[in-house]
Amino acid sequence: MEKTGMIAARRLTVQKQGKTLLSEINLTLTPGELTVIVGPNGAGKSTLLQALSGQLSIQGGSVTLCDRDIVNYTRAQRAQHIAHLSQHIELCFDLTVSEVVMLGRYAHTLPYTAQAAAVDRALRAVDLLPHAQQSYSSLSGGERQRVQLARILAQIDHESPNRWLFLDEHGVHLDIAHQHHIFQLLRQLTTVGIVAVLHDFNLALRYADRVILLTKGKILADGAPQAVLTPSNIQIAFGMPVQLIQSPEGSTWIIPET
Amino acid sequence: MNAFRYFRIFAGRPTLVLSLTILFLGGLTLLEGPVPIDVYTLLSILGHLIGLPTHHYTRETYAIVTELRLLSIVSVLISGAALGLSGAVMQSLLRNPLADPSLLGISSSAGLGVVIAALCFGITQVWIPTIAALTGSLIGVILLYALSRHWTSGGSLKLILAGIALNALLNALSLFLISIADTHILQSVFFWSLGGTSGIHWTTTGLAAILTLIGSILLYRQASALNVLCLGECDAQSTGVDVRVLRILCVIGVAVSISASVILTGPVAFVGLMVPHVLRAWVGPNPQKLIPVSGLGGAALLLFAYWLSRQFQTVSDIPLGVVTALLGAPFFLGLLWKKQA
Repeated sequence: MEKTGMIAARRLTVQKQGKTLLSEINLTLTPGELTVIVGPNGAGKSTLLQALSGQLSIQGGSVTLCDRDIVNYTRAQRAQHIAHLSQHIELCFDLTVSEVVMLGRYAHTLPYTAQAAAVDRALRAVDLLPHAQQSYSSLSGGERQRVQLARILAQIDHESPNRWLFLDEHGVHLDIAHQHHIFQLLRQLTTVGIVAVLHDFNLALRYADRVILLTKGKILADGAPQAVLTPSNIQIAFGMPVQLIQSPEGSTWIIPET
Repeated sequence: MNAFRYFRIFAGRPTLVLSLTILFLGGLTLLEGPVPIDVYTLLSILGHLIGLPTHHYTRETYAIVTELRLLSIVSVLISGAALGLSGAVMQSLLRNPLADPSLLGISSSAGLGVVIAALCFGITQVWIPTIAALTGSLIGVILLYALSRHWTSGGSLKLILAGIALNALLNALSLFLISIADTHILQSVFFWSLGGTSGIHWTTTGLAAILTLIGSILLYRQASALNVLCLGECDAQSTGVDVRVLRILCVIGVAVSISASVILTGPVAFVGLMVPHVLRAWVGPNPQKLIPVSGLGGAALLLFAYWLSRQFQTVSDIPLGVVTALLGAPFFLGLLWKKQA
């Protein structure tokens, strides 16, 4: 496991209008890992993503990227290292697929051919290169999510190992096949650190290297998916009884207790 | 077959088409009018202006061309360009294809500034209306932006409605002030407030040209960041755009440009709506292309409106604002109709 490019939070505290959204969060993220953040609504999952990518002013503690405080990076450097994707993107004007992906290259100042090459690489990674010249609005919901994924891939397309994708409930409104497709794509990105906020425990069990369970701005549990997503932890965090079942192939599923 | 080829050549070059339109309409406007001027005389006068030893003109025709028609045309072009490119920027900034700086009350805010200044200080100095228009449009943009921040979620039509109400209020205030003023100021300011080029001098036009230049450079420099704003503020921010700075610079750029337009031709609506809208379908939504082309398009459209306003044999010209509203209002209704469908 590479040690460079780590993101570390030390006693990270975020407050907004007198309300504590995150308190004393300690965690270290390593590139190459797929980390899933779960937790009930209002637990501070999105806030944590924003604080870790340096987009939020923090009230206590520190966030470092490669042992350097995140606020000491320029805006462009931060964008080149950490790409953040919101849950739902609505374009106000219609662009072509490659134009959308090119938006991700904003923080890079390279000649046009180099930029276009990065766009092509990103589109190839999500299997959408043949659709490059198509209009974004003509795509299906699943394809649009892949275009957005390509956009943030293009955003962190460079040589350094210090590359992060932050996905905030990305593609939650997609059907099950598309959701799995997105995560299979993410699993292939072995050199990139991925942090995804999710609501689906079973997706987390299946694809995550590590799960962080967040409640009320604090980390309740952090570790391997099987160790974190236990019925007792889920009962504490969500106040809902669940049970684990084993499929005949040996994979574990979490279902609500009836 | 040939015609089709020419069509394709022109369709790929909006800059060329718009420039030719401006040249053609400009030439036509120089020749036509209560005192017709023939082509040879016109060429002779224009030749003299660029330093050629030509003499085929009278003193009167020379004055008509340079002090009246050429001045009006240049003013209309500058004003139109400012309106067109501000429209393109506002539509990207507010992420709303129906945004138009004039419809949303920025022009009328600048206009109100000029009216108040005219009432307080008279209309003798050039720089007084300029500063007044600048202050007015800045207040207008900030007000509008505050409104748009208030309705961040899906309130695109709400914002338009609020802007239109703001516009109506500011126009009414202007007209109220003009009505209670004495007749001398009333006459000159009233006609200007409907959109017209009467009573300007080359100094005013020069000053406005400088303002427009500053505004358009400032706005054009924001083009690539504005393009990213298409993703929404949150993702634009994480892509590396400083959204707060972008907003402030755009607001200043639009205010400066609009104030230039207002001191030249008064508040003229719909140009900033129609031009970027039509040209977006032609050159695409990327502000790096759309902003300059919209400037050119705005100049062409306002010159067309000006030419049209001079086609009626009336005592005075039809106000420019009336012509653009006659063209633009049905266009706007059509857009709303399409948006609903």
